Amino acid sequence: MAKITLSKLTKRFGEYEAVKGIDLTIADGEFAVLVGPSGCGKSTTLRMIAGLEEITSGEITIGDTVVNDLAPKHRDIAMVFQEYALYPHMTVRKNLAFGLKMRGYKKGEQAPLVQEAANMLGISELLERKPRELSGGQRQRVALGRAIVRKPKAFLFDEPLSNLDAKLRVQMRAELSRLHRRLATTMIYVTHDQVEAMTMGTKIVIMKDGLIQQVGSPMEVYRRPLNQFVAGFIGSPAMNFFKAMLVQRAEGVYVEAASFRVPVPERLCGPYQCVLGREVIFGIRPEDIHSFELLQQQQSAILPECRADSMICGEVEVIEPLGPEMLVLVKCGDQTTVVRLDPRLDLEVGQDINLQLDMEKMHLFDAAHPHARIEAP
Amino acid sequence: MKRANGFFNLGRQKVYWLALLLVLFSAFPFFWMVSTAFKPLREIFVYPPTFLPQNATLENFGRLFEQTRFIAYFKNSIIVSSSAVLLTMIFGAAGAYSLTRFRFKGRDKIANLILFTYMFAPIMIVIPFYVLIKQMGLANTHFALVLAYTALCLPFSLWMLRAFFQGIPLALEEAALIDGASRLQAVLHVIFPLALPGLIATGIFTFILAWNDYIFCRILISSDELKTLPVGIADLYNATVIDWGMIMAGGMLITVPVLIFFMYIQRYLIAGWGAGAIKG
Ligand SMILES: Nc1ncnc2c1ncn2[C@@H]1O[C@H](COP(=O)(O)OP(=O)(O)OP(=O)(O)O)[C@@H](O)[C@H]1O
Ligand SMILES: [Mg+2]
Repeated sequence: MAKITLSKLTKRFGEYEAVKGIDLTIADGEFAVLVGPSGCGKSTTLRMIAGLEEITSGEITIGDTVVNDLAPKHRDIAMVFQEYALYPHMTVRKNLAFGLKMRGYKKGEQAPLVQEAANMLGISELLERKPRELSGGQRQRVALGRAIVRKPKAFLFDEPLSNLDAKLRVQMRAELSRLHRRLATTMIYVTHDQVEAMTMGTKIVIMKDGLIQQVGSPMEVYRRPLNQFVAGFIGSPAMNFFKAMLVQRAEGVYVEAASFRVPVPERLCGPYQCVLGREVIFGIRPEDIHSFELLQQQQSAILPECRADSMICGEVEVIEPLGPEMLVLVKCGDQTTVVRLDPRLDLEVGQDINLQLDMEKMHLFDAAHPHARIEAP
Repeated sequence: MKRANGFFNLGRQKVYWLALLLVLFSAFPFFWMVSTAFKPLREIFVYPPTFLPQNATLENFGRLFEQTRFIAYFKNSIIVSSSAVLLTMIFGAAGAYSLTRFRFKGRDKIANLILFTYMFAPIMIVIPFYVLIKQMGLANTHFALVLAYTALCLPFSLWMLRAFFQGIPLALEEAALIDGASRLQAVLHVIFPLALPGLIATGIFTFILAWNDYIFCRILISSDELKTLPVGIADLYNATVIDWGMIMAGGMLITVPVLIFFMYIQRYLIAGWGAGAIKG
C-alpha cells in the first residue's frame, strides 16, 4: 500500500523525448488509468515506475521512498505484462511461487500463499500445468496471480487485456475492478482503450505526446474535458466538433457554424462573453443530440427549456443499429455528425432529419493551439 | 489420394534403404576397429580376413594398459576437454547475453563478424598461436590447449547462443526482475533453462572438437605425459613393429565413452527443445 508520486519525470531515448516532464500523484489505494493514443509514452512511464527503464530526469516516489536508483526488486511492486510473460518452463504453481522464492520465503510459507492467490482467481485446478497448456484467459489469470501472490505495495498493468477476445475482456475488466476493491492496493493501469479507462479507473490520466493532458475522475473528464484532444478521446463515439463563431444577436448569443446556427443557453452567455466574435471549436457529444420529432411525440421532459431555434437539419447517411441504441451519421452541410438515437425511431438512409441539440451540454474550445477549453461553470 | 499415398510410401522405403546403406558404409570402419581390437595378433593378418574375431581376446587391451601411458592420455583428454567445455559455456553465455541484452556501439557488427573467424583453417592459426603461447610462457601446458579449444569454439558458441537468447522474450526477464530476482538470478532461473538446448549444443560441439583434436596438441604439447588421446595413440605408430591390435583397442576406447555420453545427453537435448519451443 503506497502513494506514488511522479515529479518532473522525463525520459529521453537518444534525441527523442518520450516523456516530457510529467507530474502526477496517485493516492494510496487508487486505481489510476493511464490512457492515450499509441506512442504517447504510457508504457515508458509505467516502466520507469517499475524500474525497468532508467529515468532521464525527475523523481519517482513510492510510499515515502525516492526510488529513482532502486532496482525493481527493491521497489516492491508487481507488474502484469501485455504478453503475460509467464515462465514457460515452470508449472503454474512455480510461476506463482517464483516471486516468493526470490524474496526468501520458505517452501512451507509459499504453499498457502500460492493456494490463496489461486483460489482468489479460480485457477487452483491449473496449478500443475505448464503455461503452454493454458488458454489465453487462463494465462492472464496466472499472470494476475503471480502479481497478487506476494501482496506488493502497488500493481502495474500494461494493457493486460488487449490479447483477449471481446467477451473475455469485459469479464476480466469486472474481475479486475473486484480485485481492486478487495485488495485496496494502489493500481496503475495502462491502456489505449478509453472504455477500459472509464469503467475501471477511479482516476484517469490522459496522455498525449509525452505530456499529461488531464487528470480526473471518469465523470470529470467526461463532463469537463480540458481541451479538444481529451474531449475527442474520452467518450465513444467521439464528440462532434464544428468550427464556429460566437455571435451576439438581438435575441441572444448564438453559435454560428457553416451549416447551422444555434442559441447559447442564458446561463452560459456570461461566461462565454470573452470569446464573442472569435473563432472557436464547438463540441457536442452524440448522446446530447436528439431527434426533434421523437422529442415532440413523447413531449419529452429531456429538454424542457429547449428553444425551437436550437435545431439543425441534415440528411441521414448511415444507420448503425446497436440494439439498445443506434448510431446515425447525419450530414449537415459538408460535415458529418454522429448522433446516438433511440432505436425505435423509424429512419431511412437518405431522409431528412431534424436534430435538437442539448445546448446545456455544449463545449467550447479555443480554435488556436492548444485548443484549451473555454471555461463555463 | 490412395495412389499418391502408395507412391509416397514407396519413396519412403527407398529412402530408408539408402539411409541404411549409408549407415553401413560409414559404420564399417568403426565395426572393423572394434572387431580387430578383440582379435589375437595372428588373426589380424590372416587372409581371407575374418569378420568377427574367431578367438576373442582382451590381450590387446592388456598390452595397451601395460606398455603405454594410455590411462594418462585418457585423463589428460578428459581434463582438457571438460575444461574447454566449461570455459566456452561460461564465456559464450556471458558474451551472447551481452550481445542480445545490452546496447553498445558496434554490437551488431561484432555479432555479424563472429563467424568470419572460421574463414581460417586451424592449421593456419596453430603456428602463430604456438608463438603466442610460447611468449606467454604457457607452451607445453594443458592450459594452453584449453585456451586454444576455447578460442576455436567461442565464435560458434556465441553465434549459437545469441540466436537462442534472442528467441527469449525480454519481458520474461523483466518479469523475473520485478518478481524480486537480481539480474544474475533472472539469467540463472529464466534465461538458462530456456536456452538449455543451445548450451548443450555448444557444449557438445566444444567437447567433440577438443576430444578429437590432433593438431593443437601435437604442436603445443611436447612431454609425453601431457599428451591427449589422439596424439598419444598416433604415436604408437612410431614403434618399429606396429601393433595394430593395440592401436585398434586404443581407438575403440577413445570412441566408446563419447558414444555413451551422447546417448545419455540426447534425452536432455530433446527434452530441452520441447521446453524452449514455446514463448511467453
Ligand atoms: N527503447 C526505445 N528506444 C527508442 N524509442 C523508444 C523506446 N521505447 C519507446 N520508444 C519511443 O517512445 C515513445 C513512447 O513509447 P511507449 O511505449 O511509452 O508508448 P505507449 O504509449 O505505450 O504506446 P502503445 O499504446 O503503442 O503501447 C514511442 O514513440 C516509442 O517509439
Ligand atoms: Mg505501450
